[in-house]
Amino acid sequence: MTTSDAYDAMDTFHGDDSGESPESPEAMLLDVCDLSVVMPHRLGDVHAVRNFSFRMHPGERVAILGESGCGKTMTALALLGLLPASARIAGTMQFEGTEVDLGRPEHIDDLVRRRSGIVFQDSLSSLNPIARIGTQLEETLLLRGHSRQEAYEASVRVLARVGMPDPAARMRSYPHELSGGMRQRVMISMALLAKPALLIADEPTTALDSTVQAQVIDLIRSVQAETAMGLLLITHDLAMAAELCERAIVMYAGYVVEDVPMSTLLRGSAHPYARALLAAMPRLSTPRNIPLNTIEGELPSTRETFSACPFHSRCAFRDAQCMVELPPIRALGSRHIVRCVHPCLDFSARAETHSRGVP
Amino acid sequence: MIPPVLELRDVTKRYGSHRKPVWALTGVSLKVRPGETLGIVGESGSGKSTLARIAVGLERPTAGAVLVNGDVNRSHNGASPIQMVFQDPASSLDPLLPIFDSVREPLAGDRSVSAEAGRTRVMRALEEVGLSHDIALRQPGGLSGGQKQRASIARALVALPPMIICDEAVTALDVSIRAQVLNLLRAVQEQHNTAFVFISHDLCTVSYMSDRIMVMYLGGVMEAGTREQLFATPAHPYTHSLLSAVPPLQQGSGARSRLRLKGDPPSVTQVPPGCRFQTRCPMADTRCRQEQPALREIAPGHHAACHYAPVPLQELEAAATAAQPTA
Amino acid sequence: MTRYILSRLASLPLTLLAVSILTFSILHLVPGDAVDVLGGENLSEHDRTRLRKEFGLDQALPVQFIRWLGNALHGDLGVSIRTNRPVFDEVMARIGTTVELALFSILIALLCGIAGGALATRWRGSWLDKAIMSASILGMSIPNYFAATTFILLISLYVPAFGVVSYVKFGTDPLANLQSLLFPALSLGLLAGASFCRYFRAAAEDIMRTADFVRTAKAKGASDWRTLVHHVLPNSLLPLATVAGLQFAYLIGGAVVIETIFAIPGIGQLMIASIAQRDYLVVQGCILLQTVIFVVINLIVDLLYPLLDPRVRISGER
Repeated sequence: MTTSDAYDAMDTFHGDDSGESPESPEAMLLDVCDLSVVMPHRLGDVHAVRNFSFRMHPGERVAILGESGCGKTMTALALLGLLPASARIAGTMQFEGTEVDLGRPEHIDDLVRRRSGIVFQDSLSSLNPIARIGTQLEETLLLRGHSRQEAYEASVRVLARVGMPDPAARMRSYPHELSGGMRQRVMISMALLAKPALLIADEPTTALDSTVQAQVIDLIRSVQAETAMGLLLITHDLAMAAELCERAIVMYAGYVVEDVPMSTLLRGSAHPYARALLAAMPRLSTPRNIPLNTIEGELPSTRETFSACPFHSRCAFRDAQCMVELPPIRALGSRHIVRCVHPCLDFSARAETHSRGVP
Repeated sequence: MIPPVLELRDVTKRYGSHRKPVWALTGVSLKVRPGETLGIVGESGSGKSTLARIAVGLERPTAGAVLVNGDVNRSHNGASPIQMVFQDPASSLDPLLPIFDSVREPLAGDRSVSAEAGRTRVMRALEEVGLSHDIALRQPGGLSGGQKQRASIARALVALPPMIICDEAVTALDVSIRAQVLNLLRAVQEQHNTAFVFISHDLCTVSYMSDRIMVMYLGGVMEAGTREQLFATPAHPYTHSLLSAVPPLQQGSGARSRLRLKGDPPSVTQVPPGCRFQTRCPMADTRCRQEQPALREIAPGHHAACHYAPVPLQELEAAATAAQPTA
Repeated sequence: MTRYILSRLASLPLTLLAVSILTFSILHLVPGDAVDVLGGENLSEHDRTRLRKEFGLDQALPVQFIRWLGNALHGDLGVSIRTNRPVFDEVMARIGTTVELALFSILIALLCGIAGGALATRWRGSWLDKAIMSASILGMSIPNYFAATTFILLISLYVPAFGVVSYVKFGTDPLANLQSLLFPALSLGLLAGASFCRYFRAAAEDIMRTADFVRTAKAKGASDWRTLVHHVLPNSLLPLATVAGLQFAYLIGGAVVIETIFAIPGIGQLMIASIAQRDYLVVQGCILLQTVIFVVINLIVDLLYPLLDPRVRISGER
């Protein structure tokens, strides 16, 4: 069984975590340890993902949050073995209890892809433009040994399930004939056909109109509730993540900076970046007469290597400590870790410092 | 009486041929006073970008008038005093020109501004948007999205315009950068008393930036009013749907009932007769299908284009649940 | 659809007029005329003048042209000075052969191009890929007459039994017909195929690298082969269609040298002979027919596009 610093920290946490129960030792859906992805580039290697570790239970709904360049999409692609051959991947992964060799795409295919579905952001370019929708849907099942007839019927059923009007007719349509919302429903259908244990959705609603976005969010929620599959939502939209997920992993510059239950994140998270991100988003109720809270500076370059906290140059709470070394992961609760020298701990239950560093 | 900075009177825009017309805008009227921000909210096909282009003089309306500071806007191809900031920071700056030259462009045709004075204005504009001198010498390729958008804003500022139109100006930016740019726009407004038209599909950003808001759908105005009126007492079913489509940033809101619209925004080539919103409105009836509702005043300064406005949310939700046998 | 076809064909008369004026002028720039060629050096001046008058060659050029044009509009393209047969008949007798040769060549070109391109894409970066790409550069550099004469040499030396047979019409003996056209078609087709191969591979490579739907296919569990055959290759055919169409049209006009080498009685051979003998009207007729074929082929390729790519619609179609 793979271990990682983060989970060591959580497992050995002895502080008062207000009645949150420790993790049950049932079989994990996903157990990723120290994942790193480096994309070679002539201008300098891009460290897309650095030391990424997390565990996911079956049926759990996790959001990977971050802005552009934080490595969230690369993480998902690495887990599914969809990165280009030039990518250098390190780290280990266990999927449904079985060890998966991240360096061998065929291995990943058998174990992971067969049991997962993925929904991409740009539905128009993610579908073959010259093949009918029906053919593309059926392919999912044909690849898993079903007959043509079975594949057809299952496809029509799942299209109806996702709320596609006139599913049988839509089977004969081409992608460009459908609207963005309908295409995204097709992508979700394609993911669902395989009856996956894990659904990965990478910015599934970014390209859609707001009313259609709401429909798709509702759809993902209801489908997940019905099938009890794991949901890994990758997005920069905190509000959408709050709608769909119970846990958030915040990434910055390729690192995990916080892994926290969603309710805690919304009340007041520990990492300054996550807090600042939440504060920077205007809501309907945000008063007009006050400037928005901003995060000064620019997003970091993915080519940099960090010997200190990657966020320190933009952090309102920085001090000399932050520049000494890359902050290690610390546990703040049995389900809460943060990578910060001075995490914000001002929620009443944690008034005293209960966090412990990893020995 | 000071005339409004921008006024549109019954502006209509038709594309395509007589036989197959595409009505991008139908009978849109608006007024923006100096120093005021009008927010325009709408989904794809609403016509908001067409509206922006007509307001700025990049296109002529098929019918109706555009007045800038009280005068009919005779400009064509963007010689209007109104400036614009576009959505895509990358494509709105000439990739070969250094930022300084791009920012200076609006002054090129203005003979009343000497070269020296122009240079000073550019420097001041760059300072105001927070771009340092060495960044000004670089080409856009080396800049981040946020920096490029600041450059676009500097370019809009340099001609000291009475109004700046922002068409999805922050949509392409990351969240942490978005806040910076929004604050910058507000600061600019305070400093220069510039009027703004802020166009976005994101209701939260529009709400933060605007004094008055206009909701558009399929080329027409559905509702218009102050920010407070629209959020406290929305009158049009479409406005209600837009509001309920905003995720509330609370945990576990899944069980909460939400007004859901069925289907997609219809295509601009198929505008239905009668009310534009009928195909997705839970309350549409025969009258809606036959008679197009006029934009009428339901409260001082608050207009809605619906036969039954003001529509309370409960009524709308009830109609929506009744229409769907399965939730 | 009909309107579109008609509007495309509407440009034909003007094109033909322009082409015929151009051809006519250029031909008459060449020193010497039919009478010189036919008569040789021993013809007396008096006889030359008489013959010229008979053939109508003594009149001013514009007048000659107008007369020709007038006749042409009635379907009479004139009479060949060489053979005394109507130009129309001469040309029509041979066009079928050239079209057959061109079709055969394009078929070989497409087969080689697609197969080569597909294999190179599947094993991109490997020695096979490099070998195929090098071969294609070679193919694009070799002049077709070199290939043709090399074929003839090699066959005569090593497979004399096969033989390079003289042309037989399809109707008479299909097998012999194909045999007689095989090496001419290979000379033309392999070399065209080389450039198709490169086009195809470039398009396929681009798609494999950048198209998101390739990623989707892999995410569904498709193997590399399946992704290639079902997703990448069909999308790579589109640019190839344009190139193939142009090449086909070119072959109709440009098989001149090959026809001469292999003694195939096609349009090309007719043109060469007629130019040498200053048989203006025949040349004119050939070129006009080739122009028509060129325009029609382009039209057909454009009509084929929607079959290959459902996103493309014939303009004007609803």
